[in-house]
Amino acid sequence: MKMKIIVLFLYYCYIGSTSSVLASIDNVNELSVLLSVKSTLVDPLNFLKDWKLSDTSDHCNWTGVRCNSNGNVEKLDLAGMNLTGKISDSISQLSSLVSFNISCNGFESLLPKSIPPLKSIDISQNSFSGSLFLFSNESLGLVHLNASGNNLSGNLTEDLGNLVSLEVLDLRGNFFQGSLPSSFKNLQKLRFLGLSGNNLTGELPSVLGQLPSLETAILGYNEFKGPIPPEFGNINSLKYLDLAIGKLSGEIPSELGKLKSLETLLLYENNFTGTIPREIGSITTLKVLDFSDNALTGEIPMEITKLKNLQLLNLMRNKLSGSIPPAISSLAQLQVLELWNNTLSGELPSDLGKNSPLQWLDVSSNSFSGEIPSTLCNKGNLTKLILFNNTFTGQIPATLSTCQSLVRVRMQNNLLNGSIPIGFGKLEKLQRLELAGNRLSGGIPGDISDSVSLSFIDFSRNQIRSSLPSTILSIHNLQAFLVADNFISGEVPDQFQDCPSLSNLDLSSNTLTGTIPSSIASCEKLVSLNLRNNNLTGEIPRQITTMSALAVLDLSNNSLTGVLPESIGTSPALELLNVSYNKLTGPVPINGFLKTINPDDLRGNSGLCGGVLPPCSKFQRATSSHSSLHGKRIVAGWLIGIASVLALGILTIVTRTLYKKWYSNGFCGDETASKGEWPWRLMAFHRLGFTASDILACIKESNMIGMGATGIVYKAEMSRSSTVLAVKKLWRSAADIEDGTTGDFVGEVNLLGKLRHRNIVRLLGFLYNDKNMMIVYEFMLNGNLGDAIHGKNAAGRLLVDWVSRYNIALGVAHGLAYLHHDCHPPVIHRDIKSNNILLDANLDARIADFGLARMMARKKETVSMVAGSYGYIAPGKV
Amino acid sequence: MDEKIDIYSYGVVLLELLTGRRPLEPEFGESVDIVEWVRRKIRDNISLEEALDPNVGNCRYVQEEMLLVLQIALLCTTKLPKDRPSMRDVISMLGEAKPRRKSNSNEENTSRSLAEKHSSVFSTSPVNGLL
Repeated sequence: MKMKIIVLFLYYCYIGSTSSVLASIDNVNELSVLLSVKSTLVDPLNFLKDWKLSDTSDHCNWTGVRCNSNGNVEKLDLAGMNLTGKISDSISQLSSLVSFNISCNGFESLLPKSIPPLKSIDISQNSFSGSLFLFSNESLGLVHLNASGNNLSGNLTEDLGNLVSLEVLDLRGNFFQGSLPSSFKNLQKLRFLGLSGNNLTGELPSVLGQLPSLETAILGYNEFKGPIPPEFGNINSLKYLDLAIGKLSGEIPSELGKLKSLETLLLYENNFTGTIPREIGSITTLKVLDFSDNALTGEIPMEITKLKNLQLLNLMRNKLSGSIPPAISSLAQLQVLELWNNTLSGELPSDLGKNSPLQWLDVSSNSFSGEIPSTLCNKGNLTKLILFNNTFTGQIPATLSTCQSLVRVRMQNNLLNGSIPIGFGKLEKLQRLELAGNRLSGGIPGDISDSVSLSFIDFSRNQIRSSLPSTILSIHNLQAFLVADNFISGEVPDQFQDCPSLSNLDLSSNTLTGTIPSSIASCEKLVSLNLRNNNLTGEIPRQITTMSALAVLDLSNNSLTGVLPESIGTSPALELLNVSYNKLTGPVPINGFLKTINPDDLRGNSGLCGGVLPPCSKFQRATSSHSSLHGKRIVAGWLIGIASVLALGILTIVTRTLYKKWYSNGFCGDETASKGEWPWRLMAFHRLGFTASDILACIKESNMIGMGATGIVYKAEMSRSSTVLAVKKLWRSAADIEDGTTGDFVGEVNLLGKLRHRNIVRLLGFLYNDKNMMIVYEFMLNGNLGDAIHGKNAAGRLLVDWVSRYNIALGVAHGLAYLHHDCHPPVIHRDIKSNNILLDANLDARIADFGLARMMARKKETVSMVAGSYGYIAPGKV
Repeated sequence: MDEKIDIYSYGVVLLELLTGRRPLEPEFGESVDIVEWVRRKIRDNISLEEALDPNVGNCRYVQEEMLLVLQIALLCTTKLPKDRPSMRDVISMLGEAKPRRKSNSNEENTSRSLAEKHSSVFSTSPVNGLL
């Protein structure tokens, strides 16, 4: 396909010729210019409602308008108003305009060909595309240029170097490519250079070392390779250097130690080798130092403890060895210390946290030994304490169980002994308490049951001896309670009435006695229940078979009696059932998944027969296992493994995002924490800036914008990426769900997600669980063609000329030709109608709902369902 | 031949764009749709200009251009599927029926950038916090 290249042409008029215009005439003119600017804008939230003619109206007081002392407009600030549409050419008549800000809107179309001689322009966080900035010689006055967060592309050209007045150049978050032009050295006034998040390549030019005013250089998230030029050490004014996430290599130059103003140094996720230069210790201004995710070797230099202002030290995921310099505990500002995934050894400084307001401490997956310092929370700021996979010994300090700021405590797989200190249940922010795989003894402290915040408790693989506190499963937010492999005795508490969140309960390999309480069935969200290897008796409660989410049920190695409940095979979500080695009797029901259950999962019950087991009359024991089913289990194991790796990856990314949020600005709105609703899966066809839960939060009646043969459409505004989506929730019958046809759908939608054409609506993702499916499209601002022609929406007013209508006809033809001729296999739409043709911000046609009619129709497999809509169906088909 | 059902529906959409009318309107009379309504005008020798949307085709040369596209719409909605053109044919016929002047937004519409095709609306940039 031929790629069209467009030139985004910012032309700055010559200043001298416009300055002598009479001011009084300007005032009247400028008011009408502003009105004409407004007329081509689409302003759905009516931010510009005061831009109107009235007797008293002074346009200088209008929203976003600022005038100079002569009453001429010098500043236009239309940021964050949800505007789309066009920036009118008439803006060039605002001859005194020096500052123009339209950031955080939804503009896609090009800027006007001429714009006044601006000093400051901010078009960041829109959807502008284009391949190039071209600057005329008269534009040299530009001081501030922010075009970050758009879809701009192409090379950064040499003529950028002509903008010698430039102090701020922010092109972050676009699709620029190629290497940096050497003309950057001409930008001697440049204070801020933001190029991160592009596709820039090549080596970092050493000429950047010649920029005397540069304070902030954000060059990360590109594909730069090669070493950091030692000349970077000459930029005396540099405060912030971000080279993170790239392909840089070689040793970190010791010359960086000459940077006497540097506060932030981010080199993470590159291929740097060698040791951490001692000279880093002389950058005493340094507050943030992140060298993580490289291949650095050797020890952490002692000199690093001279960085008295250091707030963050991240060295995780390197190959560092040796011990932590003890003086690190003297750093009075240190908040974040992450050293995980290295081969560090020795003890943590015994007074770590005594002088430092530690918030995050993560030294997991090293070879640390000795005791956990009792001073970690002395300053009362500790939120994350992550020590797992080391060989820490001794007891859990009692000072931790009174540390009110804690959110996560993860100490599994160490050699800790003693009992779990009392108090963790009283910590109102604590969400995760992971102490598995230690040598903890004693009981489960009673206060854990009182927790209002804990969602994940893992005490597995310890030596805990006690019964379970009777109300422990009623913790309101508890999602996982895992105490496998201990010496827990007594009965399973019969307190399941209030377990609103519990999804994973593992009490396996203990010495529990008594029966399985039937009230367990009231745990509506329980997905996995593992009671294997206890001394449970009695029957399997029939109510278990009605649990709507239960997928994994392991009751093996107990002394359960009675028969398998008749309905267990058709239990709504059950996928894995193991009742082996009990004292069950009677016939195995032949229904649902029991028809194909692995006989191993039933073996060891001498009284069970029938179904997949030998017929009841013969009373033979099931013998050898089926290798094919065994194979399936291996596959399942792999899947779980891969899923865990993915989960870890996501965790890393989330952590990174939090960092970015801390140390950078430029967001349009507040990011909301994702709730991560487990059962929903989001299949993305594009890079998405939102999560499943962001979308689900918008699926409510007030956001409904339409309903059709295939489903209900909702409008979903993603505040964090200032994107608007259309989400179609497909109709599904109960029969579909039972058939388990979701898999077919996923495959089909996956095909549709790969279709790319400017005249078909972009399918961004697919959100599904076992019951529901939603297709996520980009939202089309101007609605559908049917409403536009037949006068139900505002776009109709724009469709009164034949050229516009012809262009729509042509666009639809191109889209359909793509579906018919360029896709393999060809995609037949089957429901082309004006209501399925949407109009984007430029009134370009986009075909929607492709492929769905067929999917819906084929599934039904009945002749009564005709895909298509009356009036549009070819005669022979009706 | 399956794609011919899309061609028919596309022809109906063209008629909507040309006439400003819905595919089914009470005015067409019982069991008569927009396709039959136009064909009946041809049979009855009524000038086709009358069928065009008066808000759009309000001068002579625009009406001429619209009638060219009306011919395409009629081809797309022929009864026998094999007589309907392919979508590629439609595009080349539309090319010959191209209006002679440009609308305000036309220039942009026909020269959209490559970035749109190759990049998502969502940037990977740290500025967006979308890592």
